[in-house]
Amino acid sequence: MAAIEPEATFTNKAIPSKELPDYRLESLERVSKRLLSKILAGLGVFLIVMIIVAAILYTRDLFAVRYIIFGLLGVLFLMGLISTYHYFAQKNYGFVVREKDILFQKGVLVMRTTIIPFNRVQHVSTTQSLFDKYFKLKNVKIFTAGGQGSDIKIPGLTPEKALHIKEWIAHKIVEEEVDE
Amino acid sequence: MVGIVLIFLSALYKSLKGLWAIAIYVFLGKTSSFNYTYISLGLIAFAILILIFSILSYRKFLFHINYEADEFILNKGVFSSENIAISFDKIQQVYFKRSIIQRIIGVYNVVIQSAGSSEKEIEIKALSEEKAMLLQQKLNSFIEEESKAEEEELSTESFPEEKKKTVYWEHRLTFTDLLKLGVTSNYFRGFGLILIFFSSLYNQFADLFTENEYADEAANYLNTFQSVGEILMVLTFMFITVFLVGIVVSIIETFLKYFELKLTQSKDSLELEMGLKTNTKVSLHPNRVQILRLITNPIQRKLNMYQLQLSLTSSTETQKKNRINIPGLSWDKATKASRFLHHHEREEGEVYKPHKLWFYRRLFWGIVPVLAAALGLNYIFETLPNPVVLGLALVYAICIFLYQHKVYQKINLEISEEFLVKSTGLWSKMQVIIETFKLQSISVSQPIWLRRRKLVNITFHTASGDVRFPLVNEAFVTQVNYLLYKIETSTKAWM
Repeated sequence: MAAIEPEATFTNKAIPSKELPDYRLESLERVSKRLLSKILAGLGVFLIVMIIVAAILYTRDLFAVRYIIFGLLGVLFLMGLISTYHYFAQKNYGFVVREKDILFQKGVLVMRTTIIPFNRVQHVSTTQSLFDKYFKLKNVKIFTAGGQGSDIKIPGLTPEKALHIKEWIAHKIVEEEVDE
Repeated sequence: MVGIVLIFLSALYKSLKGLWAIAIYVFLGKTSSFNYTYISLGLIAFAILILIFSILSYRKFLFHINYEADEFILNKGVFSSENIAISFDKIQQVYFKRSIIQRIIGVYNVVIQSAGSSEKEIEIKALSEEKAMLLQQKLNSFIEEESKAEEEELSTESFPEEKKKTVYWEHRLTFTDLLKLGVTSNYFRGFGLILIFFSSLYNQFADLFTENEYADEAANYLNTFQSVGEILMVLTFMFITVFLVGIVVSIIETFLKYFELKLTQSKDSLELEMGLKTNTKVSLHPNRVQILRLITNPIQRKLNMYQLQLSLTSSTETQKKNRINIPGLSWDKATKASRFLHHHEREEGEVYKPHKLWFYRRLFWGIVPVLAAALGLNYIFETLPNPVVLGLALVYAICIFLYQHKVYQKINLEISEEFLVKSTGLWSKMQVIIETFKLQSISVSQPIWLRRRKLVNITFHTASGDVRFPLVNEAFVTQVNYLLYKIETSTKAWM
């Protein structure tokens, strides 16, 4: 026992059951490969805008040509980095919807697994950006009463899957109330 | 229709705020009339675009109540779309908010609040009075139904005792207690306060000082000290003064904050009252306390003084006072109070420690950067002979090693049936106590460079903050599973 108490207390060790379901043994569901296409498309649009800007700068003679080329190369390099990052990020997104909780994993250099029990979910929302619409993707956000770190946002789901997850959780929340 | 106007105005306002730079350019710049026509044309086109956007976002903003699933559902978004569903029992509060514009137009802004941060609430910008009333009434009827049921449960068991309102025990801080607390509290805090005070003072009078002859005089005065011994004496003298002033400041702070502190427990409430400048009065309900911290230091422990720090769930009325400190409790009263605030008795559980790597890492960051900088500077300026520097470096390294070693010894995490207890602290010791069923979710993170070592960092999320525990072995996963099991099987209301 920590030294904060003035006297020693009796012991009664809690032994956690080895039979509890292990979250690591679940096989993760992956998000859609279209997520990567979506991000690349976004980057592509950004690149086109940059090229247009470069072209305008060139025609207006505001900067020397080599600066514009350097700038573009820099942008390209950064985009290459971002693309590789997202390649791995997309590969590593994973989730499992279980009977009593939802597990979500993400990360490139640091893998982070967050598990939210359904009886702690405050509300669920689905979002879809313009690019998402084009690539037929949807995001599911799951909110708890905890801080930002305790919430989950699963990107790159097919609309059916997103709806399914949302309905499942909503159903679970209601069921929970009935139990009580 | 009114909604469109409001959305239009707010969108216009928002985008104009972003365009203030252009506005300044227009008003201040040397613009010809030719530019003016272009700019005004551009602005009109811009306004039309925003109007179209407003109409679309008005038409896409749809909400309804799903009576079957007991949910409030909101759809919104023009280009991107969002669908939010909140079940009734998660709604904490429904209230109206009106800005000047909303008052003029005669609409209501309805806010639906659920537990958690303010970002998580839903706002419906422009509802006519009748619709707003209807919505509030509908939602409130659901909320009240539930809270009534809860109240009934409570009242049946507590009513007979309520009338007597017997005080079980009481905790007051006397003058001597306050004095003791002030003297034994953290001087570094007091020291910091002085530093802030003097630096602000210095900033204010800096101009005076620069022209003042006193500065020169002081410099001359310092120069008169010939020997190292005299300088050392002055330094010790200064150190002692600062130390004493630190104590005085700590005492004053303690008096201001905790003057006439009174904690009373009756059958089903714990009431707290304190403060000289601002009088705080809180009723502490077990359900609102998410994290309980027990803090003491060796001297206070000798004097049998413990501090309880309570982290409460944030709610609109008490957003600022999310942490409540109750200092100067005897061990007996501290346990009594925590027993009231917790649903179970504390038991011993399994104790976990971070991997040695945590210690090595802290050792590295404590020693290497400082020494590298010191050695580097000395190499450049050659102020001290090398053997002296190496000796000092060695002493520094040993001190840091001993300090970090102790810190490492003290940190641990204990998981028992109902509690999660994280203990830390070398001088001022702290126990962070969380009831397992009050956890909201758990995160496990693993940097890839720790994969081979099988180490993970754990974050426990509660409704009033996160508690982290670093670098535990992957075997800890059984505990994560166990905690999840505890949360998922708990039917107690965590709030």
